[in-house]
Formats: sequence, C-alpha cells, structure tokens
Amino acid sequence: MAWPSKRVVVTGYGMMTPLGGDVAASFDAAREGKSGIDFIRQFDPAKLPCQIAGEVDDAWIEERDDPSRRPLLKLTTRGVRMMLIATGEAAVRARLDGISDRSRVGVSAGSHGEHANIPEMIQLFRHWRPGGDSPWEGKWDFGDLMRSGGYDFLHFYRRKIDVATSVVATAFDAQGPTISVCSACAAGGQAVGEALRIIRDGKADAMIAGGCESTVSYGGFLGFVLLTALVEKYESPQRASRPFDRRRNGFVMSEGAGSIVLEELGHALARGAPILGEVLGYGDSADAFRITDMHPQGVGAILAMRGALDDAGVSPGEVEYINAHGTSTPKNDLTETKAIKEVFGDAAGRLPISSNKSLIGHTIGAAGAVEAIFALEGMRRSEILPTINYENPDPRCDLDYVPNETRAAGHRIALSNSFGFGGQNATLCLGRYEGE
Amino acid sequence: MPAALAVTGGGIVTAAGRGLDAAWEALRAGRSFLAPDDELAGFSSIETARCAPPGPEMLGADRRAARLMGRHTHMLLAAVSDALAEAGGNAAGLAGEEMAFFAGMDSVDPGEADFVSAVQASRVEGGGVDLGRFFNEGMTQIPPLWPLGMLNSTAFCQVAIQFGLRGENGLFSPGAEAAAQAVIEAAESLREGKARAALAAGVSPTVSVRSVARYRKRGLLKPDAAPDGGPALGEGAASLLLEPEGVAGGKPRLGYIRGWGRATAGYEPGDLAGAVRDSAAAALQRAEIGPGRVGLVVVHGGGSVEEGEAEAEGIAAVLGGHRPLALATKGAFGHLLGGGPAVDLLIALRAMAEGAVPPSPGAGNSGGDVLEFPDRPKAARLEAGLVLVQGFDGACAAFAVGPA
Repeated sequence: MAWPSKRVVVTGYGMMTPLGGDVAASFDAAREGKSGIDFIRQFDPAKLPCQIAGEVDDAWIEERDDPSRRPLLKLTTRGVRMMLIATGEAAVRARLDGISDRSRVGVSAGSHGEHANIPEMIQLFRHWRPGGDSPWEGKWDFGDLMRSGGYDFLHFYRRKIDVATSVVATAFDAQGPTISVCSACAAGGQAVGEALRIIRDGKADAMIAGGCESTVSYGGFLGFVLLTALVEKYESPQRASRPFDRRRNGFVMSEGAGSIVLEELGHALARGAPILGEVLGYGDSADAFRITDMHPQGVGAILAMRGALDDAGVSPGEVEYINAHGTSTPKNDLTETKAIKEVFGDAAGRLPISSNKSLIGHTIGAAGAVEAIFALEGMRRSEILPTINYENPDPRCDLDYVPNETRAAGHRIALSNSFGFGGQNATLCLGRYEGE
Repeated sequence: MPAALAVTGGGIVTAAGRGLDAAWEALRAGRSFLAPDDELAGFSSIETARCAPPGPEMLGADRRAARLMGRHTHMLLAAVSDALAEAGGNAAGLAGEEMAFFAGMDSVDPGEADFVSAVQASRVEGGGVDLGRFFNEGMTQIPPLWPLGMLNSTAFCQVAIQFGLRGENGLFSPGAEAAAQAVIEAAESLREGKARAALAAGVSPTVSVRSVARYRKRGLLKPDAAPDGGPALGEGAASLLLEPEGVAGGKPRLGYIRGWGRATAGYEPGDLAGAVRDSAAAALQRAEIGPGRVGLVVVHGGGSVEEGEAEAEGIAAVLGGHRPLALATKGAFGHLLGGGPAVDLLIALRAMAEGAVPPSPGAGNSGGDVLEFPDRPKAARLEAGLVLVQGFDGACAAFAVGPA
C-alpha cells in the first residue's frame, strides 16, 4: 500500500440512528442483531402500502439537544437537528474545540433540505383559483397570498440544500471551506470523500463531514410509494429489510444522521487528538444509465470501488471487509454482488460483506456517513456487523454476507459503498489507524 | 508557468438565446434582457430575464426522461450538449469513465402543478386534506415520477445519462459559490489525473414565484427598481469542457483557465472585500500572472451597493494602481446564481479571443478609479483576465484566464 502525500485520519464521530442516539448505543444494538424498524409513529400511514420505517426516538433527540443551540432549531428540519446532535458527539470526541484557528475547520454535508410537505401545500392551495375544464387549469392568486401574510421564509430556508452545512458551520464555529452535496443516497459518502479531498489539498486542517435525512413523513413517503421502491410485503417490521435474501422486495425508509471529524494526520498528532481510524481513499462515478435503475452490470459501482482502491493505493487483495450499500431491493443487491465479483474476482467469495440497512433501514442522504461510522467502529472493536434477516439464500447473490450474527475479525481495511438514486456512486476506503 | 487547462468546448444558454455568439452579440450591442415579469404580478415591479431553452425532444431526450425534466434540466442539457459538440462530438471522443462532470445548481422547487388535482380531490371543508381520500382518489392523479423531479441530482444524472458521463462527479448547491466549486473540482480532478477531460457546468434556478420569493426574502432581489440597482433574477446555464493542455491535442481552444482561488468573508460583518482580494490573489498566484498583466476583470457585479463597494475595494488591493477594463454581465442576463460563473468564464474567454470588451448595461461609472467599464465595445489586447464570483454567506472565488 502506498500512502498519499497527506494522510487523513478520523478523530471523532457521532450518529443518531433508529437503534440509538449515539455511536455506542447504535453499535451495541446492531452487534446484537436488533432491528430498528417498526410501525410508523410520526404520521398515520393508514392506506399506505408500506407502514413501517426506521425512526429515531423523539426522546433521544430531546435529551441530547444542546440548549445553547436552541435558537438554531427554527432553521432546522428534523434531519438537521439530528445532524447537530451527531456532530456534537463527534466534536466532543475529537476535542474539536481545541482547534483555535477556526478558519481551518470546514463542513461538508450531504443532505437534501426539507421535502415538500402536505401542510405547506395546503396553505399554498388556498390561493389556487381553478379555471378551465381540467383540474390542472387555473392560476395562483399571489396578491391574495401576500395579503394573507405571505409565505413563511423559513419554509424556503429549510428547503435549501445547504441548510445542514450552514447550520452545522454556525453551531460549531467552522469558518473554513463549506460544501453541500446532494446526490441522493450517495450524498453522505460523497460528502466524506469531498472532505478528504479538501484536507489533502491543504484547504483545511479538519472537516466535519457527514449526512442527515429524515423523510419519514407523508410527503416523504409519497414519492417512494409512487416509485414502488419501498418494501410492501413483510411478516413483521423487524423482518422487512433483508438485503441479499431471496425474499427481499424493497427497501425500508429510515432516518438518521452521521457526522465524522476528518483531520490531517500531522495536525491531529500535534494536538494529541484521539485517532479512531483513517480515510484511505475515495472513488466516485456515475452509472449514466437510467434515472430509476442501476446499470445492470454495475458499471458505476465497479468504477467507484476501483476508484477508491486506486486513490488509497490499496490492492483488492488487501481489502478485508465491504460495508455494502445493500438496500434490500431485488436489483440493487444483485447488481452490487456482480460489481463486487468484477472488482475482487475469485477473492470476492472469501470477503465478508454486510449491509447495515438490514438493521436500520435506508437513511438516504445519511447512509454513506452512518455506514462509514459503523465500519470504522467495527474495525476498532474488531467486529463485523451482520446482515440480519438473511434466511433464504439467493443463488444469484452467493457471497459471504455475514448472515445474522456479528463476526469477530481483525480487519484493517474496508470499503463502504453508497449508490445514489439516479446513478451517482461513492465508495470510501477506510482503514484502522496503525500509526505513522 | 503552471500547467493550464484548455477550454476546448463551451455551451451557453441565456435570455439572449442559445450559443455563445448570441450572448456575445447581445453584450456588444449593449442589450439588457431584464423586463417586467407579468407572471409575477403579485410582487411589486419585479424584473427578470427569462430564458427559452430548446425543449427536451430537440435535445435528444426520450419521452420518458423528458417527463421528469424541468426548465433547469433543459438549460443544463443544452449547455453540456453544445460544449461537447464544440469539442468534437459526444464525450469528446473519450470513454465515459474518462470524463468527469461537476455542476452547480440551486434547490429545485416542488412542482405544485403536479399536485393540484390530487389536493383538490382530497380537500375537506375548513382547508384540511382527507388522507384516505387523498390516497384513494388523489394520489393516482400525481405523476409517478413527481418526487424525482424535485431532487437536484435528477437533473444532473439525466445529463450524465444522456452523454454517458461515468467518471468523477459532483453536484453542489445552491448558489454561485457552488458553481465555482464545480469548476474548481473539475480542474482539480484533471490536476490529480483522475479524468482526461472534465465538464464544469452551472445552471440558474428557474424563475418562479418560489425562486423569486426565496431570493427576495434573502435580500438578494430588491422589491423595486431601487436606486442601488438590486439584482434581478435571470435564467441561464453554461458548461465548459476542460482538458489538460497535453491531452487536448489539436482541438481548437476557446482559451485557458490558468488559476483559481477561494476565500470566505466569515460571519457578519464579514470581510467581503478581503475575501475578494484573497481569492483573486490566489488565482493570480496559482497562474503566475502579475497584476499588471490583467487586462480584463469580469466582476461579480451582483447589483447591491455593499457588494459592489467590497468588490472594488478587494480588486483594488490586488491590482494596485493598475486600472483594467471591466465587464458585468448581470445587467444584461440577470443574476444567474449557479449559472453565473460558467457564463462569465465563457464570456471572458470570448472577449479575449475577440480582443474587445463590450459595455455593461447598468454599470455606468461604477468602476471609479479601480476598473474601467467601457460604454461601447472597446478594442484591447487582453493577455490575462480575472473572473470574480461571490456566492452566499460571503463565499468568494476567482479564476485567472488567458486567451487561446
């Protein structure tokens, strides 16, 4: 393995998932094979074909909110609020306050802003004046809208793609480079990868990087129901997300946040920061195939994994674990399996591969960051989290998916895959820190 | 001199029409496309510069893909299509995985029109919605791909799909700083050898009630044609195909990007002039271009007094006593936000190629002792230029450019 000129290490991380309000709670529950999926509580899903999701407990959010950041809450969505909490955990762990030159601390966040919600639509449609023969014909009465008090600016603010980045930067006094990534389910992974580049380029000494998302709402669900992407057949909520299992039939929507403090190695050593792991490389690509489907041969996934290996100077034979995208949809899991075989050849069969989405569902823009943290924490604890609900082997998905039980392993290098809706892909190459 | 990046293709769509020629000729003629916008009559005196990009069918999109596309996608598609065509055809003769693609784009607003029928069918007395009725009757009337149209990355991926762009990529949002980031990432991707060619693109938001309200609430659009000339929202997109000089071979060049720099003003009351200065200085330093050689500055020229003063102060600090020619395009095409940097870069390269700087509608004598805004096209031998960008929250960027 050849080290790049600047090594980038992880000095802190934090997360909120349906399994726990922080890293320790989430990982401990995950290693026991618990599922974070249950019937939806945040809204009434009656009549929906999918009535389950991974939800973060409101109490965890309430008890972890930093009172000093309350004034920022009006600017936040539920997802960004979780990102603030996760970043708080990461910042404490990294002793981020100890960096005095805040212009050298930046933020790179993957998020998509608040999606359209029904109350907002209803407010707007009070000012819609139907006309013509079809229900679509009519016009907006802006004058009436403005007379009624207009439209709350905070709706606009919360919809902004960069709201997570700007709120986190404000809360943690990060005055360095900021970047807002919006690549659907690859956003969290791309945000970490872009942060890696910024540090390597010398633009920052430390970056807060990660992703957040909360789409467990009527408006958020509606889109995915229309796309028939969500699981619709399940015996129980806890058994619905079953990546690589023959009876998988869709993904489970989830929510959460993951925040990682990346730091240039020399900078981290100089200030005595704890080093929890290393980001060795990053690869990204596009399928350039179809908006609603992955490339059937996994062309983009192959490019992303190879790109991450090249960037890290790591050969396929050195990889000891893959944290899969593993959504539990029939196509994704098959395509990801094909892509892994293409990249790793015969070694693919000996490589442990697992999907955290079996445990927590799909956290969309947060997934890349949350799953990278699970992979890093697994390397620290020498454990590989399982793919739960793996009961019916699929002859076309014939690799080692670490079924149902956590596995002890002294692994040192892992890949973490994130493949976005539309075809953007990100792969992170992560390593256990083994000194200078 | 450090390795320059050759611009071997450019595509641009503005209110002046499609193509760099249309934009350039409009600027030479001193035209402004800003006009009162009747569709926004609920606001007081809003001027916009709308764009009429070709429809998706003319851009080669199939019908299924076209249903997902908003006008922002049409603009981006046209700009990328033209940049690739200028450089020698689809993917410029390279394999898809050798082509990086980065873009800047604003938030994409939900398409309320797609929702009208469903909501109307489900409304109950008093203003609420009967969710059961919504699902039984209303939802079936919503186009199935409606949610995808709201994702920024959908437009980006549609362009990647159309042209088979499989290499490094990234989509940044929301404003001009994000579009500048896209150009810088494209350049860095080539510098690191991760792609053989890179497309850097940016697209404005579409003019709508939501976008106008959003930017006005942010203080970016003034309520009236105020004396301080607050910016007006325009529509447009542009794309540059960048190739390392050694890879571009015998292709014609539009010009070169030689350096780039970024700086942030910091929090209120941030040092905006300092950020302009630092980003411009970094761009020139990377390009190894002395301030005295800068013959053209394409200013951000966002339209507010504060931004203009900060920009003048910052550029004066970099250029010393030297007073180059200057150009501001926003008086002609409006404030394009994510579309602005790429448009300004292409215009700067064209000015250098033509050896002339066109007038800047609305700029008047705002350059003072620092910059000279000509009131008619002025011939000049332009050896080096600077393109300045100001984004949200004090984020500034600058590009040093040179002629072919």
